[in-house]
Amino acid sequence: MNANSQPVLSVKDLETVFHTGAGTVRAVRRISFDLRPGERLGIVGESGSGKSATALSILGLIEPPGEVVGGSVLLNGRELVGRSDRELGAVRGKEISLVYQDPMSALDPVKSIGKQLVETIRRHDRSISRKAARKQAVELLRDVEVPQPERRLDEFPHQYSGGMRQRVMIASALANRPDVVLADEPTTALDVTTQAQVLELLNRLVSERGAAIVLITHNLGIVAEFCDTVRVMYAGRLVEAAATRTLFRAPAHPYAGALLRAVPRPDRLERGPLPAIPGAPPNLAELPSGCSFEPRCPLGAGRPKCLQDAPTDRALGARHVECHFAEEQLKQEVTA
Amino acid sequence: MTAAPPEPASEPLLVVDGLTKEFAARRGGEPLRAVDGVSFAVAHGETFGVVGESGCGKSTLSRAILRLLEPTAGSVAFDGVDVRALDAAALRRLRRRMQIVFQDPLGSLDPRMSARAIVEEPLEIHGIDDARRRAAEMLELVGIPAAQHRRKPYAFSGGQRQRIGVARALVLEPDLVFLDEPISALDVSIQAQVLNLLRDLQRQLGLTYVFIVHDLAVAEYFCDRVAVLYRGAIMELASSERIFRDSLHPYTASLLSAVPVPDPDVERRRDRIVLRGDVQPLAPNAGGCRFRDRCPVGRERAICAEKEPPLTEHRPGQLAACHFPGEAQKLVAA
Repeated sequence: MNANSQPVLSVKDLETVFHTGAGTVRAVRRISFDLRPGERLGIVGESGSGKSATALSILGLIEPPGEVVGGSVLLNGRELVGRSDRELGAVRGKEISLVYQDPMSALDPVKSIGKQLVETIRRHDRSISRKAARKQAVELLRDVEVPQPERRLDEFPHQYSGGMRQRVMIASALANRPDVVLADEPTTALDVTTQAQVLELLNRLVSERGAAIVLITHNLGIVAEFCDTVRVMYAGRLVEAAATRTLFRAPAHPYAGALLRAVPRPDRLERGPLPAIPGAPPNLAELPSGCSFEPRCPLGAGRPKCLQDAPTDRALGARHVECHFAEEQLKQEVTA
Repeated sequence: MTAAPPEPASEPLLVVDGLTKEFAARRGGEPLRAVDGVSFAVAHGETFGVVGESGCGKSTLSRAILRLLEPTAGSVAFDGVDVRALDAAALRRLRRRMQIVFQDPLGSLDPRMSARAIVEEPLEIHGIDDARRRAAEMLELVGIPAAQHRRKPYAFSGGQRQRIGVARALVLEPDLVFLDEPISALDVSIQAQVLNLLRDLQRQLGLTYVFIVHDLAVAEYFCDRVAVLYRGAIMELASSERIFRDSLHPYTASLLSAVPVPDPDVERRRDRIVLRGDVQPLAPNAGGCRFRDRCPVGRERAICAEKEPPLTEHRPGQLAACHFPGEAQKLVAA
């Protein structure tokens, strides 16, 4: 990863809403980030924080009642927001691809795995013959350690285990050597030993193909293991951006700090009550006027500034943070 | 074989011995043995963890103990009572003392009923007086304020719904509570709240827990002793500290090494055992060790293919079903 190179993906002020009976849900609230070639960027957040909506917005896959209402997504310098489905179809799977949480939802249950792989391989290059594409598909299955690939090519998705399906999905997402892979909770539906397999595969393929990746997860351990940089998402905003080591050593946003403390760690024998975060994430249709984390914040709850003003993005050393009292938070982390 | 853990001072509250549950196979094949001769004992006031991956039989095990599913073989003794010998009426009375909290709070709560009615219902079923007051008190105890008792499940957050599920299980004042993945459907920031609540309630009400969980870090934090289940059988059983600091079974070691640690400084210098292959269902009498096809230690060894290792006490209070206990640890010398 080269910090000076041009970003391969540049997201600026991206904003997505969902029109529901309960009001307008502001799922993604003017977020910005750059992804450099080869970078592994983690977006960590809870369900409802807007992290999946971010991925779908980037790919132009938001459907009514949802809508991207503002901002820009530049992929290799070209704008994706506002493009037609046909234009985006030529980009998706070729320059940028998506790995879903549940591979079953991305696979067609009535087509054999082989047929689907052949279609994926030929979608962006019609000069490849069916026979050659089939040969590539066998290689691809062998590459992701599907046993007896020639035979299993003609099987259907339900005949594959969950881990096998996700390995195939990852391989097919990377088959056309995209510059960017968006992986949305790629291992959440899997067991922990299968998760380790899948992450190892993702790691290898991303390195081999030189792709940059946005890994979306609620699992802090996966970010620590996999990512160079991390964005913490809360209530539709990216509240902290830092190098992974920087963030895990001392988070500057009180939400990031509280989240790290609330999770039992497998490498420590912890006893006594866990430092839980009180309350629940806010309703995105009725956001408070001040900081959206204020009601749960160990540092800012009840403070006039936090109640009144929504904090905006600011630089703090090498990182970015949206908190009025990030310096206080950091001081606590360092002395803790 | 009977694998009795070290005898606690008093009689254990729950003794499970050789418990087996088979399901008939489709298309007349061999039956599927989801739980295969499981034995353990749980002491009064203990939190006993059952960990394993999906399909290992951990949920079937709890249902077979409670006779929500009829076991195929083996015995269950609860407070000295042979649970399998009870008729329907006696079993219903005993269930007051053995309750279960399910994973999915929304799926297990009737959407048309208020929180209070949901908690009152088991009291009414068991003909217990004063249901309204007891239900209200229990809801307050789990942190649902009185002003919210008439709300329906959809009006609560996921964490609050799980609190209601806990209240419903505890309102009958059980001695033993099965917690079947009680936090895995909850957001990360909510999980700690519910774990803390469960621990407080255990102290206040003198409860014994059997905690069924796939998250090893949570098991380590929450449980006194842990049984690691693989393909329906216990691979290792020991104190939480032993399992997580000094395990003997290669499956335990593989599971632990697969859990990512939320600390890059620790995470990136770790060795990891990545298991190959995928878990396949096991027919009875397959022979050999049930972990051998994925085992980093025994895959090539003859004895592992020929003889199923019995669950044996290798150190005081630490049982493992392995011909080569402790060998996998050399692969992850940290």
